[in-house]
Amino acid sequence: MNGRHVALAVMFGVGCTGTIDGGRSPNGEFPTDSSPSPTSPTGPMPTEPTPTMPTMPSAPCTAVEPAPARVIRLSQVELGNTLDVLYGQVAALDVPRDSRAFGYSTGDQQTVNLPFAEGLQRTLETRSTAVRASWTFSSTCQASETAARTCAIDQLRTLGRLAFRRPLTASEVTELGEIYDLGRDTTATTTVLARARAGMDYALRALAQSPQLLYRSELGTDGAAAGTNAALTSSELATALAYTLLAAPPDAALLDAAERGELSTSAGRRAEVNRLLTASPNLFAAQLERFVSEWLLIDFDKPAWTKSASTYPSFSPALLTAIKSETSQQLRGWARQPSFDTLLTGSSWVVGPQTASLFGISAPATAGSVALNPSQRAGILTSPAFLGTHAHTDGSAPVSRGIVVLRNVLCRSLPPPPANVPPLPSSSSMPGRTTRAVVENHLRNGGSACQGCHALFNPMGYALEAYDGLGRFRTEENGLPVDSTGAIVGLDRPDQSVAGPTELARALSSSAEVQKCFTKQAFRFATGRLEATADRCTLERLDARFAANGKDVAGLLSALIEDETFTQRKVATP
Amino acid sequence: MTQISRRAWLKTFAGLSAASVAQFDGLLRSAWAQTAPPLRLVCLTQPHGITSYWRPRMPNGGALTERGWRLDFDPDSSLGPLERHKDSMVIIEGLDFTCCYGPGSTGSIGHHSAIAALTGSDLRGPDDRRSKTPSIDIFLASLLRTPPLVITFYDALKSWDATGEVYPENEDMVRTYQQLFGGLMTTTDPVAQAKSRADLRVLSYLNSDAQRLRTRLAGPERVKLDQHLETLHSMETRINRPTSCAKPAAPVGRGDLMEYPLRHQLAMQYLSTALACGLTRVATCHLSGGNRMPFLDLGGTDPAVHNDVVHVMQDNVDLSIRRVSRIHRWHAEHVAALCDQLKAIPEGNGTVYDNTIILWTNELGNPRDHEPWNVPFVLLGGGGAWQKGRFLTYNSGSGTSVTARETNAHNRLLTKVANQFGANRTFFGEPAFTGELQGL
Repeated sequence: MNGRHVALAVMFGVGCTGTIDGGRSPNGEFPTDSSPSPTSPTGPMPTEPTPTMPTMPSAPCTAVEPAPARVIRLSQVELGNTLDVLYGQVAALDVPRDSRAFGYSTGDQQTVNLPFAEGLQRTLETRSTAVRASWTFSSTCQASETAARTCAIDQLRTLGRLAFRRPLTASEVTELGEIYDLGRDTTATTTVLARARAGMDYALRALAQSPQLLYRSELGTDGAAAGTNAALTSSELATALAYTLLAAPPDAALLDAAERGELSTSAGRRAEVNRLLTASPNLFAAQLERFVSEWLLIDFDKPAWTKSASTYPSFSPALLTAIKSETSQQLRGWARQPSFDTLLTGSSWVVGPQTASLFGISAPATAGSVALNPSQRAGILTSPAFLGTHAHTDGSAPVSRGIVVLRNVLCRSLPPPPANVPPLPSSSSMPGRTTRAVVENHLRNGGSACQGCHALFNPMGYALEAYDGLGRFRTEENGLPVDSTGAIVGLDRPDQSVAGPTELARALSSSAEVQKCFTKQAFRFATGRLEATADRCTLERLDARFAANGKDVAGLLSALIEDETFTQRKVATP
Repeated sequence: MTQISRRAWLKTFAGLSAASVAQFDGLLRSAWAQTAPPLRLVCLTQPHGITSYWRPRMPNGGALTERGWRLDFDPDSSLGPLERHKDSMVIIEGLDFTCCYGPGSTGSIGHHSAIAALTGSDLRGPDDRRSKTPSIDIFLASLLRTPPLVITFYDALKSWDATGEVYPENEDMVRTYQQLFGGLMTTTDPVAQAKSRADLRVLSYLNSDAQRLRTRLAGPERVKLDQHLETLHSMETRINRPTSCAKPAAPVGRGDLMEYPLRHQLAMQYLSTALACGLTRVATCHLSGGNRMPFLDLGGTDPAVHNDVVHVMQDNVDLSIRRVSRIHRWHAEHVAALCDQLKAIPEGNGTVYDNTIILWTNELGNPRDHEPWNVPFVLLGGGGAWQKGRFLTYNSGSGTSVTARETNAHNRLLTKVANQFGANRTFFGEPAFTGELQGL
């Protein structure tokens, strides 16, 4: 499917209103039954979401409404960080990409299917081969097979605690010992050391493939009655805290704190959050980079990055690598003081020798943070990473850009596009017109049926027409002046005209509705699920904390971890 | 015990023309132990819809009837390469992805309606992009307790598991080869045997672990562990797979850089070998030659298939229709090759083809308008309790109302196919569409 077609595919939406939250039912589920779709002379048209505002109950927020008990399969990043604890950073993961059914790779819907399991097996074989020689056994341990086995079991107990986020049980140790014994025979070498390493290899594979490692359990104490709220165990609390904040397993200090019961209080969890932010800033920075990238659908593997050589002769794989690297540096640097306003409106960006031309500045000797013209750049929405991803291979893509802003920054839903949408002609194939003019002409040809939906997002995309498909600022296209005036439609205040991209970014940043949307997106990312009606109070508390703490994103994640719903789950009926 | 002769095996694949197509390095002596050959399912999907060149035509040019038609009536006929297999075909037109636009749907149409092809259902919602129900291939693999084999060359067409999660995409034939054939043991090496024992012990440990966790879960959370346990069973099956099964020669080069024609050629070969060797009973290939098909004459200079060929097809311009049909025909050539390969492997009193159902469909109907109705379906293979060699039409002709199209829901075909494997279903996918497809 071609991006240009997808971008325009919403063009023929019928009577589109862009409902907020997509018209959810009171239980938080999407309606699954509705009246028949309307028909047209050419066939049934798609069902249009009911244009209703969310019907949030107005009851005071007193009772704790925890989420259902569940297990969450580790995402790629989480699994990689976990295996690093067992093996060290010796090889990349070879498992399929995370699906993003709920928008984020943290989604709790992911499963252990055959391609994932086999990919993990390949990864473990690779990692084992890489590090096996470094598994040390002292001379005492090498004195006999029995001595080696005792030493191996000791090591497995230590690693097992980190892998399972709790001490191994006696029966688990026994089983791992049996696997160790069988593993020893998998080498043709007969020395005690070689056989012990082969045994360790298999025992570690068992640890690393175990459901105890692969799933984050949020079930609470075993034996809790169905329908009741169960408190998460100390191990589960430590696990949830560490993976939410760092995408990594809890360290020994966090496990110790959990075992002392310190995570059962908000203050205790806050203390551990603060400790981990200091102890593991790189992991936290990577976690925020992941969140922001997934929130705005920044994806350097997208076909849009196969830029046309004729349209963008300066583009090269090396330039793409530089954009990718500097975006990562930018976001990780921002994560040290992660202000929402800075993210959306900051005019400093990491620029290197290769990317300087994208920003219209002289090439620096090395990549570093540069204060850019604030009338040209304001935050992530005006970055090459965002603009180049949401572009065509041979031009900008105002419709795609507008839709991403509408859906992901404003949290507004759109009905699915109709089928019979003709592709948008390439602006490069229409000399004498700007991209905006091509789109507007296409819309006119589509008739009034197009206008409803496109009026909601095109104006935001038009404001980003000040950048081409590589994210370069421009005032002209095809020799014609670029019109980057736009508007934000349907916010918590009257429609707001904007003179260009930086004004768009600042208007979005100051909108309470956008801030609430960001809170919701952070909630989805951190919890790995869509919000339900029962989460209303939690979201309200998060909104309040976010506004009160100067829109600090680290504080927002901490607030979620400190919230009382973090420690409990509702037990389902088996 | 079914025997496949070495002569027959080598004869099957020796005739393949491409240099990179593997030559076989051994003898398939006893692929499976059961006395009755198992019924297998192959699901094939492809993009871009169909044209008037897809329909069979009568030799005398008259009105199309259920039998007596030809497929190779024109060099650009979509199904021409399957002329030699037509006696075992059922060609079905007029079925709709009603589940994507009828009551209860999320409204996924255009390319998005591809989710319906094998699931018979829609996404759960605009923010919950899981399928409501599993696709028939993963469903039946679970029912039959056989490891699913899914190859994906097109990102809009996917398979889905019981939790609604998309089944991971795989378009790398080097990796597929390793997964299917890389671990086949051809030696009595004691170290290899020790590895097998240790691998099985690890799987036993993982299985116990997953079982324990499963008992604490309910509802959709338990389904996750069911899926996990099936995966472990599949891995165990692969360790215990036939050790004497011949495997193709390993592919050369990087899988991610392989050209589409070669990818498809290898996919069909691996698929038929995996079925014949008992490595799986359910295999899927989501076919696609990519968005550039320079190996076809599509007019212009390396046109983009989607934008420059499919979407601009004009009903009154024969050449534009022929170009779209050539794309379909390219896919049909690979389907025909798969049939040839399955037919060439003796099994019991016939061939593996006789014990296979091939279900082949599309992401949509009309190429230009991307409509989710009048979606083509083709059944091939000797399996399935239906009469072969027929053309069936389910287009009521009343056109546009939801009620009329409800009668054409393709779910009933999926139900019919699922029940050939003992699924005993009254519906497949969307529950509203009950019963099996009548007239098949």
